[in-house]
Amino acid sequence: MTDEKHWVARTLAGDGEAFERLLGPHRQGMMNLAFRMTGNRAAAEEICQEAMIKVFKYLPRFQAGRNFRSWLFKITANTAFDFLRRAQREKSIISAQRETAELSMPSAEKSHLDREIARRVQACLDYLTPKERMVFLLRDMEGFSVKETAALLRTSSMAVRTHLSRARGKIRMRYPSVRAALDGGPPR
Amino acid sequence: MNCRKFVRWLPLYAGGDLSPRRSFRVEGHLRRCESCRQEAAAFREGLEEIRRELHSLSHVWREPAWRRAVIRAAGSRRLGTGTRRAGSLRDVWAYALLALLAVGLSYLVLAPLPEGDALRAAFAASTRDGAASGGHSLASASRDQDIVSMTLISSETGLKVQWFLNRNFKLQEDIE
Repeated sequence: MTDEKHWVARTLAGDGEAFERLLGPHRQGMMNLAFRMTGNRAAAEEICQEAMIKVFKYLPRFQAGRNFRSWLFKITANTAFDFLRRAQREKSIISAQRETAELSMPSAEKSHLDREIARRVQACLDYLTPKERMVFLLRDMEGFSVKETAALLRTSSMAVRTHLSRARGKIRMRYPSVRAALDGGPPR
Repeated sequence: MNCRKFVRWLPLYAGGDLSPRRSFRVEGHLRRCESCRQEAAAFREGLEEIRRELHSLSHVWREPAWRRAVIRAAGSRRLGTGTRRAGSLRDVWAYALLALLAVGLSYLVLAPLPEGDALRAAFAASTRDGAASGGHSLASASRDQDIVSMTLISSETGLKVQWFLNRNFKLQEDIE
């Protein structure tokens, strides 16, 4: 937290490198959240870029006592929702690109097993609504508490519990069949 | 608690997100019900597995792309100011409006002023229009009457004064 305060202060003083140091520890978290929300690498990078621009723009409004990580994920989550809304309006082909998204990862970075797991997880997430997916990812992937997730998404703890319960229920139902289908299917 | 209620609370219970009071009730039920105990264990195991998989997978944000994103975010904008993407629709509208204003102003400055005859013609046209539309001046009551004359005759001395007024009740000095 002290480090964050330091980097925030230096960024506000006009040090561009400090901004990179400030976001560095959350880089993967942001990208994973955006990627799991869209299932598409280009879309995820666009969401993260937009979120970073907002973070830089509104950094002077960030209150020193607050948790920077929560604030950052709040901006990323809202940007992801905006993106999905826009994509739905524009009839984007994100869902069509999903299946190929994982396959487009460089083979050096991902083993065959990892790709299988990624496909399996993404197949489960596809059954969730954007809100359920976001709540599930923030709680079960990023480890935010229900209360933190509620604050982050500007909703009540009860609403978060409802979405979380539905999301886990759906995943529980889908996961064994998706897993069986992938395990039994031909290797790709 | 019955099994139906347990199934409703299971997703939150398995993830440790149920309130302590409800968790206590769930645990009481689990002590009594073997099938729900198995269901809870399977659910918890599945959830843990997917959590592990979510953590083990990390979508790599490669270094060049990451650096480009940071530079774009920090480099192209000033802190705390209303920032816009270059070439955005808002910019286009602003430039279009500015161009329109510039054209309008230059027209006003550079356009030749109407000459004396043109001014008179414009005045005549406007007075005619005023009369036609039932204008406000007295003279406009009649299309042809632009001059009003008033004659004052003293009953004692017989002195006679004649005034000619235009339609705006201004004394016409050049008319005797």
